[in-house]
Amino acid sequence: MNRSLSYIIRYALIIVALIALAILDVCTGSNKIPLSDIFSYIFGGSDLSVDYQFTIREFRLARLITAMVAGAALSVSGLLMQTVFRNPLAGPYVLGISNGASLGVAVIVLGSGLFLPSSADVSNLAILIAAGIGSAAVLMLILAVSMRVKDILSILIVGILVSGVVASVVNVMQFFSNEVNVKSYVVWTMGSLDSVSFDDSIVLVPVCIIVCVVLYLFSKKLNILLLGEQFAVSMGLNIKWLRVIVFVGVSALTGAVTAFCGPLGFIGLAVPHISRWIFNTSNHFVLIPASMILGAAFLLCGDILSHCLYSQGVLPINAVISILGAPFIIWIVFKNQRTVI
Amino acid sequence: MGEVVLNIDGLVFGHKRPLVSQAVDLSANAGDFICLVGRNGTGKTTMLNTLIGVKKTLGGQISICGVPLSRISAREKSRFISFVPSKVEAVLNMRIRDLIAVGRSPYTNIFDRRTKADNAIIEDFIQKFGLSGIADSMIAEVSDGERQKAMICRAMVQQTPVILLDEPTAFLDYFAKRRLLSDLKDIASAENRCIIFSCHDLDVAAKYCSHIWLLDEQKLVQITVDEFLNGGYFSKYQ
Repeated sequence: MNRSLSYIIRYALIIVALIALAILDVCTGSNKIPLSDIFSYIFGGSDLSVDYQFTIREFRLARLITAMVAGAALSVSGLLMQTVFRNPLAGPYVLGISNGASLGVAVIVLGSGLFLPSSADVSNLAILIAAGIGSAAVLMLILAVSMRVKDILSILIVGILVSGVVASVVNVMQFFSNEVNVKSYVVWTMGSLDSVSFDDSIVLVPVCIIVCVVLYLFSKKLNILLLGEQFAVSMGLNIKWLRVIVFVGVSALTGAVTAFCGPLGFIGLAVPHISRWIFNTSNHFVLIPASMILGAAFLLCGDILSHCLYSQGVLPINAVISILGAPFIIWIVFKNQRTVI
Repeated sequence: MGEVVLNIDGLVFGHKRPLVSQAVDLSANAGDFICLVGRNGTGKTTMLNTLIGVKKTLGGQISICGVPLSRISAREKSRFISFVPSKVEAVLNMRIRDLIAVGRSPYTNIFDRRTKADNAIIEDFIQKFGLSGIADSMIAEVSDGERQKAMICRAMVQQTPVILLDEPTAFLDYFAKRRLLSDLKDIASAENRCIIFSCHDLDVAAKYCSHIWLLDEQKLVQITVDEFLNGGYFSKYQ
């Protein structure tokens, strides 16, 4: 009663913050676009020139939607990984899914110099497909392991080892590749919200929402899982299937985001803790929507800063959110020395 | 003596290979407070895990209130048997009341919506266990003993006829051990539940439990407390 009221107030506050950040975000960019023009574009103002409409749609709205969806997806992924691994330092990347995507992209971007004439350009679509195949391959491996292994720690170890191996393979490829390709690969790993087109960003929205809704339906089980695996089994949970569902969901979310935006760090790790801190609960029914809203807001902050801090262009989003996120991680380490997720 | 709630019929348990050389036939009544005794490695934990369904049985049947556990779903099973692990995780940002409320989850829908009756049961047991003062505290902030008490309270809220506890005294000092076992004994008879716990603190356990299930030389048998005290087991297991 009292508690649900306080949740509603907190939700209202973070939603207001999100809207404010969204408005601020569409107003930041290399050229000045007044807010009224953006609104008149959204609500069907036809008096704007076609070029101007294109700029608003492809540069401002696409970026806004991408930032919000990517932030929400990565935060929910991080929350669920922290619960399933029962480790406050788990994130969407512990399974090595994004490293799989990186490998796919590296094969395309770096490999193109080895197999193709240097003039050949790698299309965005090819990068997307490569990232998708890479993350799916790692997911299959993780699923195969988690169906056989009972101990969650073993899965964590496999995830970390896969990440390590994949990173090393990418290193070897970088070593043999030429400067141009290495640079374009490195730029991809820095992450970018600007390279996503409006149509692609619209594709991301339903994917993210459907997966998050499905995962939300498992909140009750996740709440029980927090109290330990042996206990969860005694409460009638099928741990292996719950893990598989969470892994597939998280892989879909992080795989899609990584394919479009590159490996965005820190959000998935930091935002779940911010949500727990703001709502002071461990209840997934509260934390999943909260993480979505806060994740969207967090990435908008990063996006705004990456556009504002450097007047000559856009700073790499990964660097900006890491600088934003690191203080939270440090705070977590200090605050929770004795507790488990 | 209450009615028979737990029936173990020809049970063989173990990991892949059986840990007992002869099949176990035991039964327990409502109100019983049974201590499972055995040396490390004899299979106490495996036995408990088999009862709660973490381990599959290698043979035989377990029934609760006449219902064979093999015939019902895992979810339904959580209405017949509840489990208290020896150490309760200090989950971040979870309140004592939330922990206790988990006990109603076998009865709630997918959104874990609790009815007024569910909440009344929860509040009732919070009162009975004297946890009102800390019900809104975070479980990471209370002591191990209090957390465990909340977990036992949760098992009560789950309203299962059989409750299993894995070494509930492991992390408690001598006085807390006595207090806990004495409380559990009272709960078993007052609430008419069958409580089974594994324990290495035999001197304390023997004072309070109603029977002993002795796991020795690959056999699991029920003996009385007197038989246990006079049978020379004490020095063997202490």
